[in-house]
Amino acid sequence: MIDLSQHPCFNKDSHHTHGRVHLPVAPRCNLQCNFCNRKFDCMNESRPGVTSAVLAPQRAADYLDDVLRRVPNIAVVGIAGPGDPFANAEETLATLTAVRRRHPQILLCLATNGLAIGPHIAALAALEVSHVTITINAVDPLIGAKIYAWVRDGHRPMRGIPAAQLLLDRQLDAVRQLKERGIVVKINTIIMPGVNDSHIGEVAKTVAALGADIMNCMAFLPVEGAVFEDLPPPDAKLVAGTRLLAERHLPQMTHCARCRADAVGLIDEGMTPEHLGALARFSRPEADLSARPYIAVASQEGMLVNQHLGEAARVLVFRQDAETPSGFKYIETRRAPEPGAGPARWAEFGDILHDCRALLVSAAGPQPKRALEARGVRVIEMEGMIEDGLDVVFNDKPMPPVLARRFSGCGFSCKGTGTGCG
Amino acid sequence: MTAVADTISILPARAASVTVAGNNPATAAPLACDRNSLAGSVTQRACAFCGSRVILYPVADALHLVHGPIGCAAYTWDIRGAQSSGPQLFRNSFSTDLRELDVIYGGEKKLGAALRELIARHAPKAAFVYSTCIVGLIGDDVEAVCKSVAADTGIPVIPVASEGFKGTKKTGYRAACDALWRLVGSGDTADIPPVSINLLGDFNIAGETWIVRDYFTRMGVHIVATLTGDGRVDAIRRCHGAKLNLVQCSGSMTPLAKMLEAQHGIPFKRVSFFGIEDVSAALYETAAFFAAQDPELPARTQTLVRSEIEAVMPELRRIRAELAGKKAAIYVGGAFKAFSLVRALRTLGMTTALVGTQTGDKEDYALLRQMCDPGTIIVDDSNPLELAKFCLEKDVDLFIGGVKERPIAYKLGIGFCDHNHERKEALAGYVGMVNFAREVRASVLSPVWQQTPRRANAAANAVAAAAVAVATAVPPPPRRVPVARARAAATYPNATTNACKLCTPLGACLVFRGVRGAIPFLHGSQGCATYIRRYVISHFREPMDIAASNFSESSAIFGGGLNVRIGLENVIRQYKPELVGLATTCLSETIGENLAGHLHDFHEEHPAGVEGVAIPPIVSVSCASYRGTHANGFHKAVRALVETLAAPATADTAATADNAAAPTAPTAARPVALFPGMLSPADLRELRRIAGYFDISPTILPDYSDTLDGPSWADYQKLPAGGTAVADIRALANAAAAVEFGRTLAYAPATAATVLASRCGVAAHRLGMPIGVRETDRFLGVLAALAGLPQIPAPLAAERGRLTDSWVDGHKYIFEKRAVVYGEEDLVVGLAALLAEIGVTPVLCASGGRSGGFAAAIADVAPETTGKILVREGADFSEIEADAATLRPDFLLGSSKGQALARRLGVPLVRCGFPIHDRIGGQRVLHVGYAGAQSLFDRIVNAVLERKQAASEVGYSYL
Repeated sequence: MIDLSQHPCFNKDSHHTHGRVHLPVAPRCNLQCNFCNRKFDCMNESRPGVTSAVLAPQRAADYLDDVLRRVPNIAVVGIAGPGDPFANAEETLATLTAVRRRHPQILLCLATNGLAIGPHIAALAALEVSHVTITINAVDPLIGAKIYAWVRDGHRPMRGIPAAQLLLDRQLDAVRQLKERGIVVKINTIIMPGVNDSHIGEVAKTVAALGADIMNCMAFLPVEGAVFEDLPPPDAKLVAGTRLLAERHLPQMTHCARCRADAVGLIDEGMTPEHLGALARFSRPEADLSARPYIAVASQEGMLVNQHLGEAARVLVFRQDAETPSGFKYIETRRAPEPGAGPARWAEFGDILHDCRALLVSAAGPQPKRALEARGVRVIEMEGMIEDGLDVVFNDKPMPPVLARRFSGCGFSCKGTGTGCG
Repeated sequence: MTAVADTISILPARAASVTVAGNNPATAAPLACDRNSLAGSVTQRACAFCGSRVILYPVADALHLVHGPIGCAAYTWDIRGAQSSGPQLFRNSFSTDLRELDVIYGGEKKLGAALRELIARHAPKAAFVYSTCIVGLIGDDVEAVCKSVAADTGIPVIPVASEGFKGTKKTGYRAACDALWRLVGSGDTADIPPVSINLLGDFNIAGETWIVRDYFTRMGVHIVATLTGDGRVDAIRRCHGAKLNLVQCSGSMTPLAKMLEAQHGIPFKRVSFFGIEDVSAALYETAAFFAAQDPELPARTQTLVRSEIEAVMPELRRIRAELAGKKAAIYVGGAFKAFSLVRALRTLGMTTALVGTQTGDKEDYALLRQMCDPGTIIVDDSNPLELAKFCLEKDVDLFIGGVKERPIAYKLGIGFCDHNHERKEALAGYVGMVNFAREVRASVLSPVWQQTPRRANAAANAVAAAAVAVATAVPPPPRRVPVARARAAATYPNATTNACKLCTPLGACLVFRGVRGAIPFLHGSQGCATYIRRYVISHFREPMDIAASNFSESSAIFGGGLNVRIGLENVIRQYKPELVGLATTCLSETIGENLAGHLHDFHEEHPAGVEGVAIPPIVSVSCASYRGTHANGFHKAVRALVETLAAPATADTAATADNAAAPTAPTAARPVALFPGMLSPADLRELRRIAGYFDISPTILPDYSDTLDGPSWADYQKLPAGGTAVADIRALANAAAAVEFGRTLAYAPATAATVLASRCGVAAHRLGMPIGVRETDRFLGVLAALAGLPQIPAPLAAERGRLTDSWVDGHKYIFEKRAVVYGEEDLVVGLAALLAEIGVTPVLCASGGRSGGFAAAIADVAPETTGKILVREGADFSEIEADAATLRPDFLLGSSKGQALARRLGVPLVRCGFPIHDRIGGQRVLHVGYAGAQSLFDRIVNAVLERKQAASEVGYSYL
């Protein structure tokens, strides 16, 4: 028997005793909220839409096993993005199936915008998914149109009021269907001053009528790069007042911590380097490392990782060696394929590095990265001492933020400590 | 975390200026920065004047005149470590020193006169005139004065609009850039090569500009001007001829770089020369910039970077292994330095737990948040209370900041590395990374933290030590530790060259001088007495009458009985002593003098005394010079006094059950015996003072604190006042306890304390000489136990606190310095304990003594030295010198006898122990107690500093 009372989000009494783990398996989203920016991919951020890595469904189940070994009291496994679970329905269901097969007792939950959940509700019930959260910010399409930039239903993009109307219809239908199957439904509503703050009682009333169980009115939090970047967050008085109004219709959840899409542990706990390391490990394709004893490095002089993939005419190959002072031994230099061959160049490079488990570079474009990783070579962007990078990768440690030098790249905050962007 | 950290709250208006890297949703909001400092918050920021002054002052051949009242000039007199390869004019502090009337009537006249006078006297290439707050208020037309003086003198005279109230240092930087801008463009740029740069924002602190200049020179990049480190007016005038500007410390010099870009089309790059990654990136960026003009430049740069990194990595790896996992706090002026430091700490295997800046902007903090591990506290424009709170909460091992932050760290027992402009170590470039690593290591790994309250809960130490000391009151069984004797034998098998010891009778004479009304009497030739007197007088500078039986050839052949009887008669007649201390010498010992028989005869001859003077107690001690050293003679004489007066051998010499079972509380009738060993008069006074805090008035034997360090006399005194009274020595048979200093005495057959213990049942405590904190703690622990006190009295606890606080202040200057220590074994044991506590390695501990327990005693009191040092028993100065040649000591610690050696080695000699012939004050050298440790520590640190200061070309005026 699954114990429904252990869900830390739905039962305040459990949130100090029972933890949750979010499996970041759903990267894509099917609508754009004006308060959200999923591009900001930083481990030091904590809010929905943020994750350090995306897991493949099978690896997600393995990752979960690893987490359960390390973290006690995990009661709930959830999927909360970083996009929407049903913009990635295949991955979401595959993950839930794999997890349910291994853990018949564990609570399964989902957080969705409700747009595309409808066709899958029967499958969710069969998997004994017990808790679903739907974010409904408006029950009036005129208001909804201010909140959503676009909605994509299948391949059909929509904007404005029709988009908001479609979303609303799907959401209300989802609540109805979920309740028909006895699934606990939580409604998340984000209080956006001047946008929907005077409308939230209405939302509560509407969803309560459909049988929703609990409501979580969350304060809007400005996020850099989002449309609502400059919208002021509601003050505590407004939040409390809104909750009082909504409480006339639905019980309120007040202990929300706005979890990341890859959160682990008790609600108030942060991400540890250990969690991040595990996540990073499981986010990579499984490879037989015994056939790949080496790591290649793009370096100007052989001491520092300081070349972009595109500008590296050659790479240096290292292996572990306990005899040397650094712990690593330089093996040889390999020429990179000449530029100009297009994508084939990266495929060829992947073959040249067939015995390397990773390539350390200061930066690499998405296309060559994909090509190399498809051939089993992890491309790791970092800057710093080669021996520090080798230590991290060979010994499967989490990359310290100070080495993971995304921040000195182009655009944001480029202050010229890198070696240029050419 | 401590209770205090909980009580420090962040001021509400500052809450938005503190954030945490990590999973807190609040971190999504940008950090509040770029604000004026909150009123009443003790900001670590400075004023606009300060900003201008630090930027311009390294221009070495300019006159820098501070126009205002004296304070602003006085505080900035050569305060920073900027160096010049040529003129040193900038290191002077020139001020118009405005007075009240100047403020009322205006300072323009005085300014003009001062400028003309100084320019005539010093012939500078240019003059900068800094306006201070008051000048801005009274409205002097500085511009006009400068213009007029410039016209008269023919050099640029440039006003710097640096009135303090205008803002923070940032404002002052801008004013400094404006001032420099007036020079730029007036020089000839004809011969400047195409691959040429200016260095902006490096101030040649500790010679850093020279390090960086060397890299560029080796790469083949010409440097037109360095602004302003080792700066020259003429170079600045032509700096617009360079093709690229590299801007370090971007906060200060970016305005000038932008002006050069706008006016002369010179692009600029922001760089940092701190840390391996950043300095490499700076060199590569420059190489890439000029790759079109010089295609070989990138390859040359790669070679340089590789060779430089390879050269420093072995040491960096070693240091990293020692520092791995330690936590640091960073609080610096500009954010760029903070970035570099976060990376440099990572290179050392350390993590950053707190990072803050005085002047960072929004982008800087966003960047810091990404660079730092989750949980790292990030703060803008902080204050001492906040910094202290965070340091405690994060329990950091190191603080990197400026002098204003140093006391915060030190008071909390946290290591410190100066990364401000006042630093004395070059931290730029690859070699700078090694210097940085060494400095961090010297602070973080120093043993002094073990004595600071927060690290060791040391307040409880003394009391805990009490229990330990009492429990180990019975001397531990001798433990033999290998001593470097084999090597001594191999080096100098026979001859002793320049002995590190004196003869036994000297020690005995000192002891007898410490008994009230006693006269030392040597049974032997008069030469012995005369030499010893000469020797003792030169150290103590007090009369030292020693009688002798004055052997002649016939007494050597037929025996000295007659001589000693006549001698005693004359001495008693002449001096009317309360005691005669009769020490034999090698001569009388060897001819087999029956001294007991002679004394018996003497008493027979004088049944009624000598001319009405009763025959005083005559205490004899066997002092053959070939058995032991002066230290042995000393202890034997103390023992002889106790054996003869306090514990006469009787048929029943066993401890009386009565005495053994009696409570040990000291009373007037149950004194405490203290056998201090061979210490200075100042030490004996200090021991008495310490005991006084416990309400204990010990019978110190010997006590020559007055007899060998007394006042001048109105009339000549045959025997100087002072010393331990004979009656008091007799009373020791009934002592409540006996405390004896000297760990190597465990290897002696019997001592005064063991005699009292075995014959009178007195509880004996053997301790090391109380030198250094740990040994003093043990002594005080015993006193506390005797006095029945639960803890050491507050005044002594306060002394201890001040002492360990001072150790923190000085620890970096002496960390892992190497000392050669020599002297009596027990003194050296105590000194070694002290040195080990303060982070100095006593690389050679040498003594002329041969107790057999020297090395074991050192291992006991200074366990951290085990395996790292050489201990020599029975050493002479030729052996010490031979060892010192390879041990490379930084200083010598011991008597004047090491002076010649110190001179040959070119290292300082810190004088202590006995004898000190070549300085005055030997009798006042304090070794024991917290005060003694304080005095020795100050002298050691200052000796090291003096040597460093003397060896530096510029010298250092600020620490």
